[in-house]
Amino acid sequence: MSLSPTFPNLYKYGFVTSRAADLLSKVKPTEMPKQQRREVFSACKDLVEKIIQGEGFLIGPNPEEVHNLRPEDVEIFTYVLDTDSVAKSLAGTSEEGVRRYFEEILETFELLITDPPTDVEEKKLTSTLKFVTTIADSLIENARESLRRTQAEESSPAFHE
Amino acid sequence: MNDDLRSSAFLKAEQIFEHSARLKILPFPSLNPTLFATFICDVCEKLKSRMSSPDGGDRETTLIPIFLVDQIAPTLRFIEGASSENTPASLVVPVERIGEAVLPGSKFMVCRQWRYNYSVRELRRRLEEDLKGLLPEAEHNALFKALPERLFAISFPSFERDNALLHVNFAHEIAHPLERAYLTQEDQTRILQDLRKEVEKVIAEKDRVRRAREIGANVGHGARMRQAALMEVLSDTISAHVFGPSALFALHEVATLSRSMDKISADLHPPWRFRLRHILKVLEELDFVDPRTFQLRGWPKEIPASISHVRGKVDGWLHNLHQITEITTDIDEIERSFPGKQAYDSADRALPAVQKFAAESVTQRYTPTLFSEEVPGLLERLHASLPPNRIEYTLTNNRAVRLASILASAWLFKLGELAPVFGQDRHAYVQRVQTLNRLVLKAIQLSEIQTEYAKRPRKQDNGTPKQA
Repeated sequence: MSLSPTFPNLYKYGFVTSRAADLLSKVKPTEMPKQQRREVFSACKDLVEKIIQGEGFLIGPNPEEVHNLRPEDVEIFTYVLDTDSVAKSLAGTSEEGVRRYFEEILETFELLITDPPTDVEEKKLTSTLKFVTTIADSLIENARESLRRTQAEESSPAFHE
Repeated sequence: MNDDLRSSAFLKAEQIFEHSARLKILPFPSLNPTLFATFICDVCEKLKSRMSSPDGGDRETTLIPIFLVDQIAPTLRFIEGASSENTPASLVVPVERIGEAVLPGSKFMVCRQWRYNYSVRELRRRLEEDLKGLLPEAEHNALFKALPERLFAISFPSFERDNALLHVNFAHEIAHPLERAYLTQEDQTRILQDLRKEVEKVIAEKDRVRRAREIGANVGHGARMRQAALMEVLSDTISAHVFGPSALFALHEVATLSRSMDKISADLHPPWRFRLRHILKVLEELDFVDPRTFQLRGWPKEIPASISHVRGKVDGWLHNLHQITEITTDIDEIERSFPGKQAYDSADRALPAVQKFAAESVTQRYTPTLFSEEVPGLLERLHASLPPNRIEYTLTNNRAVRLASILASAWLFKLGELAPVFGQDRHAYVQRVQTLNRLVLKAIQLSEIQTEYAKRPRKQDNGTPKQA
């Protein structure tokens, strides 16, 4: 699944989810450097809020009640729905389950940015790590795709191979 | 694995740094490319230090070199393409000035590109957002402090460097960044909700999740299509406010090369016929074109004999253009497309607001009165093979003219006096067009010098400065 070439923040979220995945896989939240923990997981929280906005607009029971929606929220939600296997399988069985899944991840990020860091259930940390890892890897693939497009964009005036 | 990746990424950052440092010392017609080259060197330094940090993980280290090659290295072409040698140097500063007036707080770099089109690219915000995900907040803020609030590269097709008349299209590109300001004042949620309702009527899929995905994809696509349509109209309108009828002439010249006058392009640009129709309408509203006869307004009552035939030829050209826009095959194409129809229905409702926004964004408008005061005299100068840079009341009493008048006179001269031929005279035609472009570029330079000179405090006979 590819994001559209006009999707903003590919690298921002690519870096953020990469750093979050690297951090969560190596260090306990209580041992993470405070500033880094706050910056990385706040940005992850923003990303999940966008996903939830998109979910509310496309699947949620009251799409009319979604506010401050941006076109990229819709795109990032459909992208995650196709990329993340948990979201994908939940979507096939329970719409409410999709919402709960993203809300749980959001809650985990909220806990990870508190000061001092709150203990987060191991299960929640594991599913959040799985989520950011999947998104990070997929965004890295999208970045490679973007690179291919950039190379095609400014072709040589002299010849084409 | 991690060390290999780090070394390779470090090497790339170093190479980009060195390249940017070399480009920085090229001669440029403005200060902005040097500023940006220095910034790129600083970005490379930051990324090198980030890669030396012990807390960087594998994924981050994988993404940094892709980012360097995909986002940072390509910006070097803007710096290289902005050198004096690669640009119509006399036009660069006047174009930058127009940009700074339309978008206060912004700076511009005029540069060539190999693709055949005019384009604009924001150089600061995207990188600022991207690097927010990587650099600590304090370092990030310090890095971007060196750049103006917004910095844009506006590019022209490389081999058209000396085709000064075509560069009227710069005004269109300068206006594109205003789309952000326009869109923030729109209620995006309501627009997406409305679009969703229209899209839903067409989607037949019953499964709720698959249906949501299909609706999501089409609403997203439709929203981008709507935005592209509105933004082209916004930019064309601003171009008409800045350059008057020249905006239409220059737009038409690019449109003649298009594959289709009627189709929405792959990058979602609206059909050319749609755009020409809108810009003609704007010129009518600005009183440059008579909406009943489709003749150009602003001519003096008595036109000097040497240029009287120009008027008839230009009016004939406008009449033909009007006929092109009367054909509605572009609208038929839009009506048949999904979600194009839904997107354009939504765009149509917003067009009056877009045009009002465009009009309010231009503080220094080109008007039929200015056209009338300056262009006929400049046409006479062109007829006498002189640069159209000033109005001469007497030999010692003269004043520099506006850039828009220089370009308008040149377009009228081209349309009215240099009829394209493809016979024995074809080489002469090419030479005459090239001479016209040289005269225009020279006129822009002379007019700039005269305007700047007039601003300087003059010295009195005893050597002390006198008020200008």
